[in-house]
Amino acid sequence: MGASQSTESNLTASIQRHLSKIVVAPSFAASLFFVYGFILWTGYMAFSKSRMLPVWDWAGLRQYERLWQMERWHVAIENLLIFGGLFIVTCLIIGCLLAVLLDQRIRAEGALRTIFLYPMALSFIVTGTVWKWLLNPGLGLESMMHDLGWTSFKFDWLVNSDMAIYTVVIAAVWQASGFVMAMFLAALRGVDQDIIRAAYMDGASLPRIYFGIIIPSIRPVFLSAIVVLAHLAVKSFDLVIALTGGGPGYSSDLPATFMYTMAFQRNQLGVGAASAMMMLATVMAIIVPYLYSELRGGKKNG
Amino acid sequence: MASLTLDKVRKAFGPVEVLKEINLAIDDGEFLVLVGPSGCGKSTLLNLIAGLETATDGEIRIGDRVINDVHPKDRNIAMVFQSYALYPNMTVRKNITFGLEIRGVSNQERDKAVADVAKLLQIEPLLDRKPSQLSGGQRQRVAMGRALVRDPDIFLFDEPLSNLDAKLRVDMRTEIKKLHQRLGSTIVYVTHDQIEAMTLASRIAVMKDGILQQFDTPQNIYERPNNMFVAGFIGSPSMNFIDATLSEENGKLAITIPRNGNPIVLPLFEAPESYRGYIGKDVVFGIRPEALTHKRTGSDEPGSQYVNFDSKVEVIEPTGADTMTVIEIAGKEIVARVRPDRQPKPGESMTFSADMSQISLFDPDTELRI
Amino acid sequence: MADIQTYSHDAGWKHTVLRGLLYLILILFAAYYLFPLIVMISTSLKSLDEIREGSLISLPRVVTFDAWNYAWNEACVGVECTGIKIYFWNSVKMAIPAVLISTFLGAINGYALTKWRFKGANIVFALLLFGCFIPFQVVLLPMSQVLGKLGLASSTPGLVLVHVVYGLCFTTLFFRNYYVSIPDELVKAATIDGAGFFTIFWRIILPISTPIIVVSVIWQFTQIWNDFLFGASFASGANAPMTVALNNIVNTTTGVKQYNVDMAAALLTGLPTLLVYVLAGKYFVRGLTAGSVKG
Repeated sequence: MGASQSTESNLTASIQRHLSKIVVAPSFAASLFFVYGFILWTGYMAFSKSRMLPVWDWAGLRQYERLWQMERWHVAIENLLIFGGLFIVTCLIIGCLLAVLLDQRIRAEGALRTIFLYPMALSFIVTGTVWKWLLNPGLGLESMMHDLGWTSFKFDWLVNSDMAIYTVVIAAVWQASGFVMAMFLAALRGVDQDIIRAAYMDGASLPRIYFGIIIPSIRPVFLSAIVVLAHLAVKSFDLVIALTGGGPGYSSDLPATFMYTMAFQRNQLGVGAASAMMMLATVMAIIVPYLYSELRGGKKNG
Repeated sequence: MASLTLDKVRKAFGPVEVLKEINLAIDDGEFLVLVGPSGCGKSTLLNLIAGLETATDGEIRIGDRVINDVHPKDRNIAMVFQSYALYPNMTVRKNITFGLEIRGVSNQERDKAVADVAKLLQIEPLLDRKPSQLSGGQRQRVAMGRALVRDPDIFLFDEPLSNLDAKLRVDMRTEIKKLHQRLGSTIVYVTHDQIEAMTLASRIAVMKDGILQQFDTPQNIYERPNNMFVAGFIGSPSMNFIDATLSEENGKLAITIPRNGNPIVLPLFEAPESYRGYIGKDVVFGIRPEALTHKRTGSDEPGSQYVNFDSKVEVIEPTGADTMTVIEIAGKEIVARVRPDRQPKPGESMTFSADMSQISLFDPDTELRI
Repeated sequence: MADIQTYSHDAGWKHTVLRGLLYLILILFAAYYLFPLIVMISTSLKSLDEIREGSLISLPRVVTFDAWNYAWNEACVGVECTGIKIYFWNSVKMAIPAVLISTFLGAINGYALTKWRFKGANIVFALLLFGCFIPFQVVLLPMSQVLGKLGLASSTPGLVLVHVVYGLCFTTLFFRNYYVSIPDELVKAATIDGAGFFTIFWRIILPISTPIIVVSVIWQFTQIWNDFLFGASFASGANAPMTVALNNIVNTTTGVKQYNVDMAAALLTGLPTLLVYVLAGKYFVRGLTAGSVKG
């Protein structure tokens, strides 16, 4: 091999070796800029004096102070806790129940699964729109019940400040419980058959087998489901906008809608940024320990 | 075809030394088997030869050419993998010609090459099938076909038979051996199965923990293992190791095995110089099961290599051709090979003959052969 | 798990009763899930008068597609009253490039990260993955700034950029997890055969990636088509996606509330993803559970 040939092949060999890195670089750079860079930007904004336009003047913790002094923010946080809690618990119960029921060698299992899951394919806007119609005080569920004879039935939650947030729970559960069911069903199907046979030979009854053995053994999936649902809850924006618009007033506001209103409609960039950072912190508090424990414990994922 | 030389080859992954100075040289047409337990570095060494990894130190030469920095495709080698690594989306024909196509070999030449190889390996009816439609043995042959068609200087095999069932493994082993005899190619073959090593190799390199333990012909490795590891690794059932002392009586050397006040004394048949230094010291007495048999005619007579001793029989394991007899000496379980018609009953005592011309002595500390 | 049926200690009629109860519960739930869809369809096929006079659950006495026609061609979004069809095409123009680009990038990233590992590859992957979990509220403000500076504010290409950037983490996750279980020896054999990085990708890896490509495309399409937050934040004008237009139609405070039009518009918006789900739901489920069960 001539000298010039070897330098040329050295160059191509060198590029080949680094090709992998070159290929991944754009995505990595995009991630660094559009994710981490932006987080830093928003973080800084939360420390700045920004109102309508971003400015770089330092304002310390003032935006956070203002944030926490706003009653609307407190309402949003409270709503998040109510909504998040109910949403997660209800989805878990329904999802688990449906998964267990579907696991019993049902004849129309495929069709039922499709029916339970299809809401997940819809946009939250579509979901919000249809439930807004269903729960319409005058023409929706209430009037249907009246027509069926139950004339004293009242369902004005949608326009009731105290109850509006619960309508969001109803719609969200409708959308997401099928997904939880799918997760649980997959997990149930992966349980070691021998353990069940052993329990059967010990004389355990079917409910006993389920509650005592199977459900505890899919505990990791519970955790996964909770993390996914919590994540969905914190991010909930589309559904609230479509269903209640955050109202009446701001009684069904969630941090996500709060942030949007402050940043894009109320010329309160700083406060909006501060609320976004609070949302980030909440999500991190859930995700980071979870990811850490997953990566530590489950090295099987390569 | 070409020779292969590994000169002071070292490989480290960060701080971990996987190969510690390997020196090997084989001639054109030899069948080298790298054998050893998992983690001994044999696959890493194969990858170095293939060019899938680069050596940290030392030189690798094919013929006279130093190939340390040469890309695998330019080394003129071919490799058969344990999982065959056939391209799932291509037909057998495409699988075999893929490499040729990359190199710009013409359609005609490719077709001829495939036809030749398919005939040789008897895979002609399979040419238009996909790998998923083939059995294990068929995939194995296609993988070999892919290697053969490149007409390389050296063939590399990475545990190619491990994924086959026992019967198929034996059949394929014979086929590989026949292929080697027919083509006279230089082969480097990695396996953890010592039987494959013994039956296929012209020379075996036994490895452990990245160090070459012994590099010799199968027969030499079997009869004169360098250390206790090689002695115990090669041969099945493995060599018996008994703690004993080298004693001297009337100018004759013997092995003395303690046994509850009634020691077994086995006079040596040969006494090389190296034994002199161990008189009176502890040694490890190594003797293969086939050298411990039922009582032989002419044993215990002067000049005979067979020395007798009695022992109680613990367990017998008839295998059809022989009966493996487990006896207990000095707290250790020893395996002897006895003819089925002479086989004892468990619990009985029997006379055994030890063939003292086929023994090995090892230093108990260094585990090296004396 | 089907075996457990045979382990039930109940026999005879008690068993039948329990099975009956089982089916009953399942059917009730099915009704709960189907009810909104049925109402949506039924309402969209009624005239406004019938809606006011009739009941929620009554099927239309006279089936009319007027509402659908109106929604598609005449509904008012903001000040324009040209129907939702423009926004349908906006969504299409946005979704297709975004899905294709993010899927392709995810594939080649996953391939590079698993088959051509380099030092720090795990860190790169972890950092990329992390981006999947952030609440997007935290990037809205800077993104609108950047889009403005790039001249992409309120434009379809701008939205495509946003969706590609934030979809990368999911697609890379899908492909990476899929490629991890493809044996490395395949790449080794191809290397010895003389193929390079890209040749191996095009000719060997991609052809066997069909299952995960389908999962990725379906997942991305669903996410991107259904998105509202990015659409509302970055393209709320003539280039708005369908979801934004839908919300606009439904939440207009002027004029008479046309519930049938609302429902028709909602159905039109939901139909594409619903169709994808019905036709390829199996892959959809695989996509949903692939990333999350492993966390």
